[in-house]
Parts: sequence; structure tokens; C-alpha cells
Amino acid sequence: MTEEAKLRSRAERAEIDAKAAGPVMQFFISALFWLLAGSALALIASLKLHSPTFLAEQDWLTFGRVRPAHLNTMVYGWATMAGIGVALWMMSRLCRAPLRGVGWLHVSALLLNIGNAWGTYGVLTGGSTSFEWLEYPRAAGLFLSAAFVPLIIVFADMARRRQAGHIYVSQWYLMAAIFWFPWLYLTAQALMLWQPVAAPAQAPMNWWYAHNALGLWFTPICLATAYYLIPKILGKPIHSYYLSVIGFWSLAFFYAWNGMHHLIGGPYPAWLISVSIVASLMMLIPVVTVAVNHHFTMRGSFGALRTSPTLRFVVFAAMSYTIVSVQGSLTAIRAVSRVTHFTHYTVAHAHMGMYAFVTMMLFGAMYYMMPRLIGKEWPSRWLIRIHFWGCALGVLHYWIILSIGGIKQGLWMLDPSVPFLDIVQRMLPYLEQRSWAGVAMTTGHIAFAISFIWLLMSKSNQDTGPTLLGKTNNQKSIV
Amino acid sequence: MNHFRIIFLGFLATFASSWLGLVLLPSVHYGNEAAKLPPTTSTAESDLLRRGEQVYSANGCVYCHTQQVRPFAFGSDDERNWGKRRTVAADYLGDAKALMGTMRTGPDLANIGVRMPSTSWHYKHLFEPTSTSPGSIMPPHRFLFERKPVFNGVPDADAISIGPNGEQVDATGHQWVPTADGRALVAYLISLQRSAVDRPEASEAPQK
Repeated sequence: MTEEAKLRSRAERAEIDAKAAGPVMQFFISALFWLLAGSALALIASLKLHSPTFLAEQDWLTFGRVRPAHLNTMVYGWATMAGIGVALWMMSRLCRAPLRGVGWLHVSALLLNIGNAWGTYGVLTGGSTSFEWLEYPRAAGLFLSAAFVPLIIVFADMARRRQAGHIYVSQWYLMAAIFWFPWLYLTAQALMLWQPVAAPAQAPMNWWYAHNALGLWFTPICLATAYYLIPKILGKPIHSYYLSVIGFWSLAFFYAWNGMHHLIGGPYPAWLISVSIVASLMMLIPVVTVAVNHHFTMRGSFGALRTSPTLRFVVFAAMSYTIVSVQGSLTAIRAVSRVTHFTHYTVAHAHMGMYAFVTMMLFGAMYYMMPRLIGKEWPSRWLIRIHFWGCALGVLHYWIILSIGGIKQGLWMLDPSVPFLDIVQRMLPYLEQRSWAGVAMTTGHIAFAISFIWLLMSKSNQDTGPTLLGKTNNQKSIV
Repeated sequence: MNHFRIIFLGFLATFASSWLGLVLLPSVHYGNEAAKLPPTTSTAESDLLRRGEQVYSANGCVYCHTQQVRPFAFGSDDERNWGKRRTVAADYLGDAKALMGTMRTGPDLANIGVRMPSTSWHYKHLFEPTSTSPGSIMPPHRFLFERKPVFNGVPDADAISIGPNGEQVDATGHQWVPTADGRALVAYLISLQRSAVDRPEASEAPQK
């Protein structure tokens, strides 16, 4: 590239980032708020499992309300809003089309915030639907649904205005996510809350929805992020275009059929369950192709993990994706599920997916994006370190301890000579450790929040160069 | 592939296939099955059970309790006395919502009405779980009860026993009686007898 072309390309990126800054920051600030609220709810719920009389007097703080409030604020407040912010900016960059419809995006963020606030209030005051991942009462769902109308239009507009040429794999993932999720959400809202179908049909729909909310909404956004940021930070192209094509289409086809593995051993005909077990095992194809593709892109550059905060989070998340997906495929096998179903093993697995993969990926993207959006560098490398290690060690501890505990719980439940209440008692040490893991993750979140607010408040410091975690010979290129 | 239109058809086809198989097909099938049930009229009792189901879902019982008996070859539900046969889809046709659950922090409740038919046991258990189930980590559900003064020394018929010897009145002359929600929840729990009716599709080949 000539010097002139470089300058032009830099000016173009600056214009795209400037246009995206307003709405994306609104999504990020909202997401941060919901992350902290969700963490507080998580800690309360976790403490209650080993100290059941803690905050037990009021109905709105009972375990069965705090737990769904935690899950929904994290899913629709934190991950959805942060994910939309990341997706908007990435799509705009990849299409080389500055955002239009900024006002409507502000409305969308506002609707999501109202929906989340209303929904959380509703769940805590006794309006929970008890459909997992869909506990927000009906009215909250209307706000969340409406928020997607401007989003679909803005994404379609960017796709239409994209500069001619190759469509990068991240764009496929993003367009697919923004098309799939509203369809998923509206189907579940309409057929479970507005005009409920017969009860036996609700459970398959519930798990079709909940599994695909992870698989066809958060996963595509986060894989798009990994496909975009890893080559970008390392300054080299993705290893194989063909692997990325296979990875995308096998994910699209197989993931959508996965959900019924949550009903193994349940009151359903064998074919319904078996089709999901097969699809879950087939998920090894997209997972292995993505893992191979990212690994070979990273090969020779792992040293950059020492310095780049973004890369550290993104690579941790990408590795977690491989682990959690392989784990998911294996858990879908009947012999494994016989032990692990109905236990804390599943809870550990869910956090590996929604946290170690999705949440860590979104953190990584925010570290990369915010200095570009607001023209300031992260104020403290120590806060970034506390954030990373608190979250990384916290979630690994969570996953390991509850996986081991869950397997034991499952084996004890299969053994009728162990009385049920003994199992409850034997699980207590694992549940206590889970709370400690939650404390570590929450510490990370607080460090991130301080960092975030400090960055917003600080004066411009662009000329000091990017905030890195260690010394590098090539400081400018790695952030 | 550089044409969004073709790619978009792929998005549509992959997603629609699962929508047809996992959403539409079960909805139509179980909708037809539900339509075959004899029509029910709303009675005071059915309203009470519906309200109990609502209390069950509003307070998230489902996060610790399943309502499904596994096939006997697939666990120890049989030995744990959780039901005399596995549950099948038809056992849920009369429900307003599916509350089958996915977690057994506590025991399965598909047939709790068979195992624990006593109203007073449920009240006591909800009020102070460890009083009936030592070592339980279920949270006390005091908010399903109200504290009322006792007149003439005679407690209400459904006042719960709170003392060590079954006393219903505390030192200050107060009793604890279930609220309307508490009564509805217990009526619902006792109605849970999902394996009571024999169903041919629930039969399993003999194991031994």
C-alpha cells in the first residue's frame, strides 16, 4: 500500500469509528450497568445455595426469583447489549459503510434498557414465566422485540451499502445472527407467552430457543469477533478461507437442531431426542474447523498474548469455545447425560459457554474498540490485569469445581443407597467454592468498571501510545 | 461467495429446517393431542390448582425440582420411589405450562402428591424446610404465610405447628397461617400424581 492509500484508509476508518461512537458507547455503558447488576444477583443466588436462610424473609429475594433475574440481566442486558455494540461497529468497518440511522440505534438501546429493567422488576416481583432463558414477563418481551426492528434495518442498510468485493466470514456471521435472533425470540414469545401451545410442546420449544440463543445469536457474534480481531491484531490473514466456509455452514445447519439434548431421559419420543444428539455430535465439525483455523493463524504469534490485552481475552475466549463445544457434544451422548443431566455439571457447562467464551470475547472486543471510538487509551494496565485474571481464574475455578461436583452428584443420584438429603449435604463444599469463584469474577468486573469509567472521564492521552501489558518491540501494531 | 442474497437463502434454509422440526411439528402434534382431551369446566378446585401452578412458576421451584420421572433403565427414579412408571408427554397435556425442569438440587416432584399427601407436612416444610427434611438447603418460604393473633386461645384450623412439640401458638399469642398463595401451592403440589394413570406408551421392557 502506498503512503497515500494508507492515509486514505486511516481517514476512512476514523470516519467509520466516529459515526459508530455514539450509539456503540450507549450500548456499552448500558451493558456495563447490567453486568454489575447481574453480578450482584449472581452472588446473592450463589450464597443462598449454601446459606439458605440468607435474605430469605422477602419474597422478591427468594432463590427462585433471583436466579432467573441474574440469568436474564446477563443474557439480555449484558451480553446482548455488548454484543450489539460490537456487531454494529464491526459490520460498519467490514462493509466500509459509516453507520446511518444513529437516532434509531439510540431508540433501540433505550428499548432494550426499558425491557431489561421491566423484566427484572417483573421477575423479582413474582411475574417470572419459569421458562428458562425466557423468564421476563410478556410486556418486557415486547420492548426487547421492538428494539430489534431498527437493528435489522441498520444492518441491512450497511450490507446494501458495502463497498464491492469479497464478503468476509465475520460479515456472514453477523448478518446471520441479526436475522436468526429476532426469528427465534419472536417464535418463543408468540408460542409460549402470547398464545401458548400445548404444554408438552413448550419444553422442546424452550430448549430450541435457549440453545439457539447461545448458538445462533451470541456464538456467531463472538466468532465474528475472533475472525476479525485475531488477524487484525497480528497483522496477518486468516489461515484458511475454505475452513471458515465449512465452519460457518456446518454451524448454521447443525447448531439449530441441538436443543433437545436438554430433554434426554424426558417424556418425549426417542426420535426427537436422538435427532439432537446426532446434531450435537456433528457440532464437532464446525468447532474443529474454527479451532484449527484460529490456531494456525495464531501459530508463531503466541508471544503477542504477553502484551495485548485484547488478544489475551479473545484467545482465552476462542479456546474456551473449543473446550465448551467439545464438552457439549460429549455431554449429549446418552451414557454421559445419564450421569450429568439434572446436576451442577450443566450449570458449569453453561458458564463455560456464556462466560468463558461469550463474555470474555466481548471484553476483548471492548478493549480493542473503546480507544478507537473515543480517542483515549486505557488508563491502567493493573486494572486490566486484575480484570483478566479475576475473570479467567474465577471462571476456570467455577467450571472445574462444579464439573467435578456435578459428576459426583450425578453418580450419587444414580446410586439409590445414597439418601437424597446426603447428596444435598455432600454438595455443600462445591457450592461454597462456586461462591468464591463468583467473588473472583465480580472483582474482575469491578476492576473493568473502574477502568471503563476512568477512561470515559480522563483527558485525551492518545500520544502516550496504547496500554500494553508488557514490553514489545513493535508497540504501535499490537493493541 | 460474494452475494448476500444467496448466502441469505442459506441462513433461511438451515434455520427453517429446525423451526419446522423442533417447533412446528411438536406444536401441531401435541396441540392435536390436547384437543382430544375431554372438555374441562372451570371449578373452584381447578382454579385453585391453576393458581398453585402459577405460584410454583412465579417462585422458581423449577430451578431445583424436576417434574419428570426418567425411564427406569435410565437412573434410580424407581428405587427412589419418585413414581411407579416413567412420565410421558401425555401426562402434561392438561397443564398450562411445561414445568418439567432440568435440575435436581432437590428431589423430583412429578408424584409428590403420592409420596407426601399431607397438607400439614407441606405447610411445615415450606415454612421451615429443615423441620421436616434435616440438612435441606431449600430456602424457607415464610412469605407464603402470615402471622396472626390467636383469639380465645383456639388457633385456626390450618395454623402450622411451630413449636418443638407441635405447638401452633407462640409465646406472644400469635399463629402462622398459610396465605391464599400458600394454600394454592400446597393444593397444586398434592395434585401432582403424574404416574397415577397407566399409559401403554409408558411401559418399558422388563429389565431383569
